[in-house]
Amino acid sequence: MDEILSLLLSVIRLCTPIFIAGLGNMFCERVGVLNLGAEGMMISGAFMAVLGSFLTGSAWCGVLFGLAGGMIAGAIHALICVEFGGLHAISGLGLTIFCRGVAKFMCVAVFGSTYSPNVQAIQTTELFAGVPVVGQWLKQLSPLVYLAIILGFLAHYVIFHTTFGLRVRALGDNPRAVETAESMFGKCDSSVCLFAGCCAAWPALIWALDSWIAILTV
Amino acid sequence: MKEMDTKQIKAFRGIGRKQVMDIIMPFFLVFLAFLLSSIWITFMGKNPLEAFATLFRGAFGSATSFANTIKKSVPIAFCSFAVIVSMKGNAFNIGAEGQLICGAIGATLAGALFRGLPAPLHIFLCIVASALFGMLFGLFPTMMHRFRGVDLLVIFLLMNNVAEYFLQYFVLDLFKSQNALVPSSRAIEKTAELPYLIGPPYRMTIAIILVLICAVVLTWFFNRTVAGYEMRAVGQNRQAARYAGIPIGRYTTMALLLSAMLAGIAGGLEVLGNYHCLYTEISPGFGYDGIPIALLCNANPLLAVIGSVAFGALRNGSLAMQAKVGISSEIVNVIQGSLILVIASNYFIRYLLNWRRRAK
Repeated sequence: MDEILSLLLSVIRLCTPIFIAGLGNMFCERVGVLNLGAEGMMISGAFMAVLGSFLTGSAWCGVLFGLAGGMIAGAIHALICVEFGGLHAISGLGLTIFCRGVAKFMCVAVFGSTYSPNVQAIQTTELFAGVPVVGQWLKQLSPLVYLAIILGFLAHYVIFHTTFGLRVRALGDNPRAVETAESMFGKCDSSVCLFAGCCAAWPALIWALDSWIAILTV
Repeated sequence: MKEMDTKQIKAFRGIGRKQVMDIIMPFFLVFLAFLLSSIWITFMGKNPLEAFATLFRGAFGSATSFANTIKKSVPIAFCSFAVIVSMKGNAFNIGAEGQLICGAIGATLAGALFRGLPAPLHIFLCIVASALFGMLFGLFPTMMHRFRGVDLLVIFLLMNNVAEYFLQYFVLDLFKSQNALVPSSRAIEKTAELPYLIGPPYRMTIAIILVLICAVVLTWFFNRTVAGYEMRAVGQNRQAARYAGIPIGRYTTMALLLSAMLAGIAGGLEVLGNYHCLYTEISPGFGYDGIPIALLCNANPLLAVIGSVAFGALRNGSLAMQAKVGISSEIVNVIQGSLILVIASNYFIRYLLNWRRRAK
């Protein structure tokens, strides 16, 4: 029984990053931007998360840094794809190579090797420790996992029950029609790209901050 | 009448200006990419000018380093040809990396398993095998794209991972060498090794001649044959090509398979010419190098040769830079990544450059 439960827990732990990255790319696809740069955004987020945790000594600051890192990469993608009218595939590919290079380069520059030292991490949710029966299992997952699950439901709500979501879907289906209806083409696109960057950074955050030895082996 | 003349002259001037821009643009983009990466070097507290000077010296400084640069540029050149051919056929092959790996596997198999053949025949067989393996690996995504409408970029990118992991399985388990210090596959037969063009201190093989032949043949194919012309037509304007009765699907498929073949040959030559066996790190991203080159040289195979020498220099010189200035050789990825990003924002940069003219 114990083995099955621990297997289940590690399955949840491992699938959350993929889920969140997929969520971000889902938004991108909905709005009609091909996001091949997700890998780059993840690497950027992971590096910034470790850097934030290393500099401030607080894992939650690391989370904020990581989100910002993903957002910067997302912003580059948005800038090139949406504002400059570049090819999505090329921009995404470039972003991946660029972020991989910069992260490794900066890793050597800041930490002195391609491995970062151990940083503060958030592995367990002590909040759930008091829950009867299942508490000992629930607390073994990182709070980031729970936030990810909430984010999943939130994404459904945003896409199907808000004006923003309607616009996003409309842009993906027929950008010309939306452009005719109102000129908010670029704005919506860019914000979604930023959000996708955030989302893509999330799994990296989990990977980076879930383990004690938050090594950066990009 | 007079007015029309000036208009025509203006039109001519416009064309001239555009052509000048087309020539200047690649250099300007490369310059911008270097500028962007020098920001990171400065951030590290090193002098970017010194770093780039070391890079240049490491790539072209001595005869040996120059030979190494040329050697590194061979697979890059073939990968850029691969991307160029796919671009001409209105598709974009970003799976060159995977096809290169498969080509290398094919060459290793043919090189190690066939025994007792005369050298020229064996080499020929190995190159054919690498082309065939590359093509077969490109066949599945191409067919999925043509008959099921699967997104070409996504499936090619994912197939790269398949190839990469299969290579590890192949080298570490399936075809591993029993008595090698570094994990590698079985070595190819002596008869399959490419003969040297210039002897051992430089170790330049005949692969460079193959690159030049390939560039000339591709140029001839695109400019002088019906198939090449129709392929270009498909690449430049799909709708017009369809109206002209050119079978678009067939040409796109053909371009992709040809492209996969070229990428496979890149891997094969790497095995036959340089390593003589297969490592897990056979390709440090050669397949991705082809993309910026193809975009920069405007899909011209002859210019791509020059571009790939430049990229080979980048890869070779970065090692010297790491040793002498202490800048991680990862800077190559930074330069290359910023180059691709800059290429992607090509239109905007042109727009900015025309800013003063528009203001008038």
